[in-house]
Amino acid sequence: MDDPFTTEKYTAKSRQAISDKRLQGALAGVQGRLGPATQKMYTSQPEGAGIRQQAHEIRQRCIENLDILLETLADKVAENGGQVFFARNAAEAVSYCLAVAKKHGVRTVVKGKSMVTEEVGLNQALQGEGIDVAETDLGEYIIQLAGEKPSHIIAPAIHKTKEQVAQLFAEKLGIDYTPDPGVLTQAARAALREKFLAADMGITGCNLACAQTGHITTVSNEGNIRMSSTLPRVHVAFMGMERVVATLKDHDILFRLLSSGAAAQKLGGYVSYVGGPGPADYPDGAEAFHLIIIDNGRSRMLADPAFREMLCCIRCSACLNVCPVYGKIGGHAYGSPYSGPVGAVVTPLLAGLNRAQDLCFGETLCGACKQACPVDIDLPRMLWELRFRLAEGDETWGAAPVSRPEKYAMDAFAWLTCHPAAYRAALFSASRMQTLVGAKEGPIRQLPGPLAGWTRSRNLRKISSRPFRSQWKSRKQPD
Amino acid sequence: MTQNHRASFINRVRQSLGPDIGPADVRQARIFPQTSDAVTQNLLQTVQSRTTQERETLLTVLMDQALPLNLHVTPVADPAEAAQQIAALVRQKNPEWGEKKALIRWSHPLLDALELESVLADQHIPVHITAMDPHADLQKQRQVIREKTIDSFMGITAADYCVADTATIVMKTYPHQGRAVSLLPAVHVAVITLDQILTNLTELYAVLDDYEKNTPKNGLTHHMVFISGPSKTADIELTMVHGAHGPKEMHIFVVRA
Amino acid sequence: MMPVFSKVTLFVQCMVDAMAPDAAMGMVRLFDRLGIGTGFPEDQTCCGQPAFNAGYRTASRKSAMHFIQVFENAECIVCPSGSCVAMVRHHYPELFAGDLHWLERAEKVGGKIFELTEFLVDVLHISDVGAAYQGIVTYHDSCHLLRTLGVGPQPRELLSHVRGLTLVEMVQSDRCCGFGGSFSIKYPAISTALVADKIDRILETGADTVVGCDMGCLLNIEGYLTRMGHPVKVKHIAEVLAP
Repeated sequence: MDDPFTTEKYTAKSRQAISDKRLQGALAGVQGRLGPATQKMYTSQPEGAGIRQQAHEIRQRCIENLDILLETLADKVAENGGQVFFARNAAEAVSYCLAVAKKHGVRTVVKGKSMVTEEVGLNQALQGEGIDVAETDLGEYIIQLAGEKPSHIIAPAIHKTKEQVAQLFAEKLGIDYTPDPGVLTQAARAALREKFLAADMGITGCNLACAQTGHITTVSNEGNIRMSSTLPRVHVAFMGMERVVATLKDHDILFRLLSSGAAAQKLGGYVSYVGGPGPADYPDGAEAFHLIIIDNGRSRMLADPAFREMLCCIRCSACLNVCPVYGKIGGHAYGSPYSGPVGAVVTPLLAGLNRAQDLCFGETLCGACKQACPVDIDLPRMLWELRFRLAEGDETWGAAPVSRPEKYAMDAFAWLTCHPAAYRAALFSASRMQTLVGAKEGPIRQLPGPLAGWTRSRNLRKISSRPFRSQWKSRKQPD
Repeated sequence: MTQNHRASFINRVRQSLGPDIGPADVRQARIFPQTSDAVTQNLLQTVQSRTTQERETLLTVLMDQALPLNLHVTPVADPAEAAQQIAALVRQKNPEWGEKKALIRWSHPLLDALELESVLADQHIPVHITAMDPHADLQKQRQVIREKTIDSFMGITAADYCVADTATIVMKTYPHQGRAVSLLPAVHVAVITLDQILTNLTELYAVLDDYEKNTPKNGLTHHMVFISGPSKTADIELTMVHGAHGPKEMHIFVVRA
Repeated sequence: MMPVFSKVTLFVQCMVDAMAPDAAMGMVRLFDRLGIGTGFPEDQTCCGQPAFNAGYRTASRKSAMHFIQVFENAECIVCPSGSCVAMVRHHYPELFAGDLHWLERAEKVGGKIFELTEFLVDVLHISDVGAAYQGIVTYHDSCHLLRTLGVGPQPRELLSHVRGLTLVEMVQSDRCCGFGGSFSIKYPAISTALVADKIDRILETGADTVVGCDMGCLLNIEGYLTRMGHPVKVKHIAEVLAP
């Protein structure tokens, strides 16, 4: 099994991303444009500075009543002629979708962008049954043609230049090489229009379902999700179980914030509410509507008070747009459809803490994500919690301590800090021993063993021969 | 079909919430308030007592907000003027696919009042309509409507509400209203009336909530869409392009009378 | 009106103690000039942050308990490190969450510990400490100081009153420099990429000196500057404010 989460892969992909000047430019562009613009939008809402906290309370309330909301949603959708399937894990979700496809004789599928379908490996499963799956979000379409994975939650092909897309389209669509986004978009528009019109089934995600009214919702700008949920005769919507709110009123603040966080917009261009198939005597719309609600490890997060808050996430990607680490390593290094700060928390929780440990250790805990999150989720707190479980082990999450040598070193240092005389002695010997790792004069240029990572690219100031505590001892007190 | 694990799924969620969550009926009442709160009541009152003058102010806001979205908003005195404006658009625009020009519209009283069929008669342009005859073959009619929608370069709809602050039109789906009319043709034209304009999303949701609570079954209908301008994408190098998969161009005509 | 403080207790922080003693001495001289006595409990060691950040809460708790014992009877504690103050104020309650006795003691200490610039500007209401420094200075916002403690205007306020000092803002002064504690050793490629960006921003200002309030950031920035051979000086704000 090709594990996407090895440290070798993380390191290799990070280095690759860092040395890719075009990618660096693209990431700087996304962050430069959206980071500050999003902040501005938060502060210009009529609710004022407290809006993110309000949004947090709404989401928290919904999560704490998730059982009621899901049952209400399911009952209402069923009332309106839709079918609801509760999938406890990825395999159940996928096999239900395949069953629906088989029942309706589906040969071709058009898809709106949906991270949860990536999470459960839907495309491969459909293709395995000989079903043609066309990603229709322009960014997803591009990477599907290129055989790659998304590198950003909202802008999946952000890592591609217009020249690369032009080359790709020339090869795959047979058009002239034209590195112009307008022309390239038109080419995709034409190619995908055919797919939309011919498709048997449309698959979408769900941004935030409304339990009160029994609708799923999708938010986009391109129109592909509307096409996927209107033109084919079957519509299947995938929904992570936490993506639901109680009332319509909840949508007011949350859709504004989602649009701000995702694209610094007042409101996404298209917001669709789908509550079931249309009646047979209506001119169009799907004849069958299936909603697949997925757990796949989310109930485990729900059960842990330390991580329950993560379920408040509305997948807007505002955190990606400010994270300095994401801005360097890009989305692919995370090995998961969820990248950036949200990925650093969600991926270990869904895929395994030890497996995905580099995602939560490979962050600087700078806190920019918490400031950017429209729902005021304390992502840094959860990164600290994940590190705690990985450092000391955790039975609930099946986490094994990551490094016994490191633990012993930490314990030893802790002991020193509790024994000041020993601490002072250690400080003294360190200042003497450092001549072994550096010239007498000047900074240290080479540190030993695990510390060498620093000195590969940086010098390190020496420990002073007269630390402050020695100078303090000999200082003359003023009168 | 595959077995649905609803009971064990919900049970797992309930267990995960912990033992102290309290009785379901209490939680149910708290999370789904039966009556609207004071803020919502005030908003509804404001909407109902809005004067024409106040609505004109909202129209100005709508036009300002529409500008950066590449959304064209034009006030007209009456349906006849709207029809003239649409006829002008039809003359100016060329079809995206193919040579023939055709229109498709909803069956709706406001759109009927435009009398587009006769206004466009001199241009010999067919105006299709997404009306269904419940007594005839439904599948066949749907197929025909679908083909006509595909062949139309302009789609005309009405709307249920319009939000000035975000330049959004809101369309539920009632009988004889094709969803693809505002999606497949390259140009989408929406005709609304001045009194349909609301201030912002908060007002909209108050109105929707009130309607939903007072409608016996599915007040929002099985499909509702908010549209805030033509389709667009910035997926290639963050460069904004208008006309991804939905309409490339969008017009709203606001009928004053 | 300046609150009356006869004495402050100094927590100088392990890195400042060991590697930037001049900064700490400068802090002492600064308080001398302000007529405020300084105390330095010799038994102070480390606040426990490195262990906490790496997830070793059991070890961190031990250091934290020692810290609390050393400082809990002080009237007022001043520290030239934003991340340490953030640790004490915001993470000690997490460390002692299940232990009411220690939690109370931790919160008591947390209520009277201040970062240096925060203390000068917010508590003493002093913006001009009578300092002088010839140079073009740019200021780097450390993450925990800025985002956890909300301290950003205060250092700038102080720097703007230093005679001979020209303050120029760098673009993205609040962007993480890539230190992140053990992150800088475990993920050196990413850390280096981040500090390289920070150095670019610094160089773009034309400043001859970069000033900050956190030793971790400063060591990281200095380490890369000197390896690359750039002559920009790196100073802790205490060195610049010192008489």
